[in-house]
Amino acid sequence: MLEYILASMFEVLKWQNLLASVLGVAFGLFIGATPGLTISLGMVLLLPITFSLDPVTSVCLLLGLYAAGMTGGSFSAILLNIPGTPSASATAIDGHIMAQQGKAGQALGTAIIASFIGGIIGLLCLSAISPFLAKAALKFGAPELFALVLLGITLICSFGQQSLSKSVIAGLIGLIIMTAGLDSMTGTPRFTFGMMDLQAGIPFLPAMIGLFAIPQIIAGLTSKGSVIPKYDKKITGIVPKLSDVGRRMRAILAGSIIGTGIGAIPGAGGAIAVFLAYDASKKISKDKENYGNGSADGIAAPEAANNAVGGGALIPMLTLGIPGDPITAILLGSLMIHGLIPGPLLFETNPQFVFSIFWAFLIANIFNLVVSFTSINFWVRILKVPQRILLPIILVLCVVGSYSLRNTFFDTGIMIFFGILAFFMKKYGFPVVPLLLALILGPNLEEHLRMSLIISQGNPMVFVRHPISLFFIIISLISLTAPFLVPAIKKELSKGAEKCTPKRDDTV
Amino acid sequence: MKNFMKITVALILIFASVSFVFAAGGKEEAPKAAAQTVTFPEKPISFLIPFGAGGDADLLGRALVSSMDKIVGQPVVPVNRPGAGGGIMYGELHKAAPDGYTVGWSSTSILTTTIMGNVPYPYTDFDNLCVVGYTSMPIAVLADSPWKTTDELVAWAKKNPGKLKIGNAGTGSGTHLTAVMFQQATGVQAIHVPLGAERRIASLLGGEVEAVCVPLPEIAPQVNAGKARILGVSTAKRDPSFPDVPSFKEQGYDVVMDLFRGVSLPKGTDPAVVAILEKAFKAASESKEFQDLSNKTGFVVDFKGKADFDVVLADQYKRVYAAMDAGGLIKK
Repeated sequence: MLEYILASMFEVLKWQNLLASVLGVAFGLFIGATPGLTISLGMVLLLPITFSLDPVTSVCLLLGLYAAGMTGGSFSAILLNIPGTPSASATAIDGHIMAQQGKAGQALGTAIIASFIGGIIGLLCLSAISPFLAKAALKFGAPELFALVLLGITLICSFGQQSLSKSVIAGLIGLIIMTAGLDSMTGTPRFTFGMMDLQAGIPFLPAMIGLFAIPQIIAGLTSKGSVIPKYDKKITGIVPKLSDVGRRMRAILAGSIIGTGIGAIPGAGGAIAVFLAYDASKKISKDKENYGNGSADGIAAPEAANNAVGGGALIPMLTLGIPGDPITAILLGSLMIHGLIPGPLLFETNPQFVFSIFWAFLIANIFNLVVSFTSINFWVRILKVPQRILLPIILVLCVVGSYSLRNTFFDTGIMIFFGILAFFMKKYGFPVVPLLLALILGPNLEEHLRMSLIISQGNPMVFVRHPISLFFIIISLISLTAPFLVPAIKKELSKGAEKCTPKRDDTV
Repeated sequence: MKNFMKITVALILIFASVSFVFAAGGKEEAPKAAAQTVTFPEKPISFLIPFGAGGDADLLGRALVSSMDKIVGQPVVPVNRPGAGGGIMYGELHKAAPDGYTVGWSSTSILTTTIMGNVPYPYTDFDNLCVVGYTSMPIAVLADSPWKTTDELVAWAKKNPGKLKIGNAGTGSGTHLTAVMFQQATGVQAIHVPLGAERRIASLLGGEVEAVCVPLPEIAPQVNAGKARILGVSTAKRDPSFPDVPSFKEQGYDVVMDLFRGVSLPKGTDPAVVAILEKAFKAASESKEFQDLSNKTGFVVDFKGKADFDVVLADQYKRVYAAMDAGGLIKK
């Protein structure tokens, strides 16, 4: 065992593997930070190169890209309010507000540190308890996944700052829109109006790009002031102090644990992890009020989560041979080309290679930390570009990015449609995040609900009989009703308290 | 510090451009194909892949065309057009000019999407160029389950009607149809669960379904690790990678279905161009890159030209139609 660990470490420390890792990280930051270029697309671009490389070198390259892509996604989310990847969408909520407050450097620094710690915790779980986690993840059948997604959907209520009813309306609009396309269970076209392109459903990424970027561009055209945060000051406070990291630790740990756990469940998807992490860290945070107003914890939790998802997603891939998400599916494909078939046998037939993957993941996270910090100055400088030049560039990126995902202008149309929708929603005070959340989770919610009912032959009791599913459903109910019940209960309690201690000053 | 930053930026740029060039398959001139009456191709050819990046169809398609530039003297560029079970790609291919510069990496999905009616043209509305090979679709159960043979599973399912759940990749997919054929041939009642790409193996291992029907390469690692057992394969002959596993046909059940992959063109392509492409794809299917990958992914290379492809399609059409009809998938 020890000889494999050491041999694989020296293997990964060879110069060509270190170089591959650095290049993967640099490319990943670029891919992640560019709206419309996703990590999976970046991996596909690199695949032909990996065919001719040594397997360990290709793993270093691809894992570098994976780790850095997640971090890079937060850069554009924080600086431009356009999440570069879906996993960065929760980061945009507080990150961009922090940037507008002139704290772009700190926001980026927090994101990078949280990414690093999240990645390392994911790796620790992967190397230490992966057989256990893989077994637990297999317990997530359709009913359990449905209940988990249901919990995610209830978060709609926690993202609306203005009004609860408007949040719910925005979420429901998203759920209705997501029903368009081929029915995932029967293959029947729904709301496609005879358009072939709509059969594939509403593509989520172009919609996300439109939702975030277009309203900002329109606002930039119509308002006199700047919509892009100014950053003229000398950049300070990028590298957070240890005490700052300590204060973020609670959020980071929550994010990392949620990210690893959800990453390990095949079919759950990384995007739900970042929203659950954001919400969970808010619930355990000491200053909840700051969330949505530029809270560094609101960046730390989802960023730790999305990097921990990487370690989590490798768990079912390495132990069971099941890719948990599209990114690990591509990774699995590239390993297969080298004749290394991930799965239960890989640990027995090629343990050294498995340890190489762990080391490669560690190196990738370290390089990601170093390269990200050294390049912050470059990224922040984007904000020094005058708005009249920057906004058209962003628009071009949106058009190209939405086109390039599936090579079709239909998706660009979708991007513009959602952009205009978001503009009017903002104008009339409807929050956009619930709509986005519904777009991400809606299809999963429907699929897992109907799959559960197929398996149980129409018996809805299946959700109550499975303990994990029951647990999540109860949590969802609490999460839904808490905003109404908690103040009411407090009121009751304080009434009671008032009777006992009449001198209490009740100003709230 | 500043220099380091510049270097980082430069590396990013260089890397990005290099990888784009690689991805586009951009290589220098190569010797042209033997002179024909028409000069084809004179520009790069688009190769439409009906499924997403990283999957079996994508990897095999990319490996197939990676040697094409050496064969035809022009790059053949893979373009992913995923969605609607392949329907998006067939719609696009149907619209494309029949000049040979847009070709589609077709599969069993050319039958399923057209029979279902989501692609509003029959499969005969394409010039179907060649079939490159196939993957067999086994039905597998957990290794610690009580069923050692198909007969035992069938006997159990008949004793416990409504209990057997068979997972598949999605309603209307080849794996679903194989399971429907299995149900018809054996006379058992089965519940078909469209598990999708990410959950089909996990669901079997987690005990959510009793059996799954998935492409052979996906279940192979589980079988080799002693976690799953294959009861039979859907191809008429045994699969070369599992010579001990009998086909359903051998076991006396009329289940014959393979997930074929081939190349289709828009209808009305110049016969001279068709001939050039047919020859080129035959050569590409014999290339070392493609053969290697096929061996590793459990894809059986079995090239058949246009005339034979039409026979294969006509035969499969009857079987697929019957299965889809039985599965209630045809709108009437």
